[in-house]
Amino acid sequence: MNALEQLIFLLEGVQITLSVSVFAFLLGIATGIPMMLLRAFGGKLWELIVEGYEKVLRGVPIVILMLLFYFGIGVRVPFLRDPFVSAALALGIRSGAYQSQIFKGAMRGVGEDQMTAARALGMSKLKAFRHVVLPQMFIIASAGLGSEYALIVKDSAYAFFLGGGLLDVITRADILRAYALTEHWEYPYFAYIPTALIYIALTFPLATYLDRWGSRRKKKLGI
Amino acid sequence: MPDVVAEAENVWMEYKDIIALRDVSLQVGEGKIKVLFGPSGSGKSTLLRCLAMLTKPTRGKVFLRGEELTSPEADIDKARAKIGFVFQNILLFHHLRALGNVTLGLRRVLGLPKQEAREKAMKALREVRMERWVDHYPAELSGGQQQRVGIARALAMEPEIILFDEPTSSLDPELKGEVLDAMKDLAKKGRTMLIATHEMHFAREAADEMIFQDEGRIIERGTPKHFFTNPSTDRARRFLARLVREGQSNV
Amino acid sequence: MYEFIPKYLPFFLKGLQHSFILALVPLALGFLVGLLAALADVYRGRTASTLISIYVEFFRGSPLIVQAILFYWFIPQDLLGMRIDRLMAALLVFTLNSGAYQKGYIKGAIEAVHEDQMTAARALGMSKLKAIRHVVLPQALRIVIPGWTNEYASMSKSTSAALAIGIPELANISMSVASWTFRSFETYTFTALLYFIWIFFSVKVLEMVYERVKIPGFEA
Ligand SMILES: Nc1ncnc2c1ncn2[C@@H]1O[C@H](COP(=O)(O)OP(=O)(O)O)[C@@H](O)[C@H]1O
Ligand SMILES: [Mg+2]
Repeated sequence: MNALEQLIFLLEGVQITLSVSVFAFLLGIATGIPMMLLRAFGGKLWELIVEGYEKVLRGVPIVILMLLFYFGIGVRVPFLRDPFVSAALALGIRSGAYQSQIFKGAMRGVGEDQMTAARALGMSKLKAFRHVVLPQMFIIASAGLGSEYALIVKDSAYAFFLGGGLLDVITRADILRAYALTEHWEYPYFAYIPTALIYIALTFPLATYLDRWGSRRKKKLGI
Repeated sequence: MPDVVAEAENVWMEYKDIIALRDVSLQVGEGKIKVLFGPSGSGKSTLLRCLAMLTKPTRGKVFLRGEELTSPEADIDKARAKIGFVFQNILLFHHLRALGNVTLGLRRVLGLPKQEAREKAMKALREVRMERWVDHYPAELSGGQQQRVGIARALAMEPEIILFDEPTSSLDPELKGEVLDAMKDLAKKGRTMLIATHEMHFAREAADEMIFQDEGRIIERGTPKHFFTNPSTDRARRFLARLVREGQSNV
Repeated sequence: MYEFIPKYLPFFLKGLQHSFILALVPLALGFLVGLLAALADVYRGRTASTLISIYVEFFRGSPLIVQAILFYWFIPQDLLGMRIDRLMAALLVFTLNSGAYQKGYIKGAIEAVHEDQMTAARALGMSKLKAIRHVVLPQALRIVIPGWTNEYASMSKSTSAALAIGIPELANISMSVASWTFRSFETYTFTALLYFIWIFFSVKVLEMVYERVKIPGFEA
């Protein structure tokens, strides 16, 4: 393989890294918002349960969660025996715990007055939340969501320890390294430099953009 | 002419699209109390900040006891230690108690030992009647109390002159009195002070000279008696009338 | 079900000890790095800021595993032709990584201390350096503590990135135990519990510290 072929080989992993990450991020939203709502409106018991659940997920390294899903639970639940599924689920479920926090802060940022004003128009609680509170929440949460997305992309690299079945960027770097070693190249670990840059390219622009976009919108709308 | 403490000589301050000071000259002599008067935006804060070299004038010179502070060789930090500054928005250090706010400069700028700094600070705090509040954090004090600590902070450094930038204008009306009283006490003790304020009653009682500034220029100066009863410029007259109308003073 | 755990407990504890070192040392050293970077970013010119943001974006934008591989294999072995100690490499790369994050927290806190505080300090005759030291930083460092608590928790979990270079920390040990015993579920749930307890209690301790140094009415 020449340098260009190697680079292309690495870049082909982007698709997998991104699929895992986007899936996990969406799962994070899908679990994070309900958890936040349960916490806020579900009464004392739910608050305690959800808070405990979030604390546990936030207190454990992601690689341990992945290993638990893939090897620990995967023994009994065959569909987890796929590194893609285990990695994405672990990342997504944990992300839910973080996103719940992000949305909680965002809801506080929107403030109760907005809800009151919408209710005064005759909107139901749900409608008021859906049409008035939620859109503003996303603006306030945008910076936090941006860094949450970046965290997922970077942490998806831990799927490497599931045994290499997932051909994402970092796994491909490892393959290139092995190849370079057999070929006795001078810098067998060089592949990790473009690898680092690829991850930076996947995280930095979007996170920065969301951060800027969020603060511009906030300023403009006076939130 | 008594010894000149602070002096501005043909000072200009030009910002991007505005000229805040136009050729302002001013001397404050030992023991004198001068009051800067003028509408908001007329350049009072800018002049005070230039005198303390918190901003550098774009043209002109500033002196403290005859030493030119605008010269590149001047030791500005050392000069500022000799100039007290009391801010419109008070600006106590949030993380320090009242006493700590006053000792900070004594310890870290003048390098006094702890005990001596403490004694000096207590003396200054007593002068503004804040000795009972020394262990409170700024957030635990009223605005008037905070500003009195602000005065003590400046006073404790034993400055040659104290510059006041509208020290009561951020305070609720009922809290202004205690700060003005503290300033009157200082006036009686012969402190050298330059005060930007709209408090007419205070000015009439304490000022040796009124300086009226408008659009970055000093356009009138004179004794308070003359200034308040018979101002010679139209603008001063209109401004005074407006102040009285708006009830901004506690006459 | 978990009956085999006691037998392996000494391994787990040894692993925890390694993880502990891998979290605490970089956190402390990373604080110094972050502080210097934040100060240089805020108070020094453009060039400093550009260099610092390259440093920060590299360490914040790429996976810690990749960074660990670069700092253990690529830089010393490939480029410099030398071997370095695994633990040293891990401490170095974790320090730089944590420093990049801490720089962000500290810079935010410095900027949260209003410029006016600096003006008031300068008006007393303080030099810029003195004003930073006695007025800006004491406030900024209090503001930074909650962010710092986050960084501590996240650093503790990130110690598992040392898997990439084979240091026997907790994640590494648990993978070994799982492969010796074929009891993955129990091993990894127990490991999760150990991490959880570790992080939970140290965060509690940090929160207590926060309460102690808190100043009435001062929250930015
Ligand atoms: N840092 C600055 N940049 C630009 N313009 C300024 C700045 N500071 C003051 N000005 C302008 O200079 C003028 C004088 O302001 P100031 O000295 O604060 O007046 P006063 O204290 O009498 O209200 C105002 O028009 C103000 O907007
Ligand atoms: Mg002003």
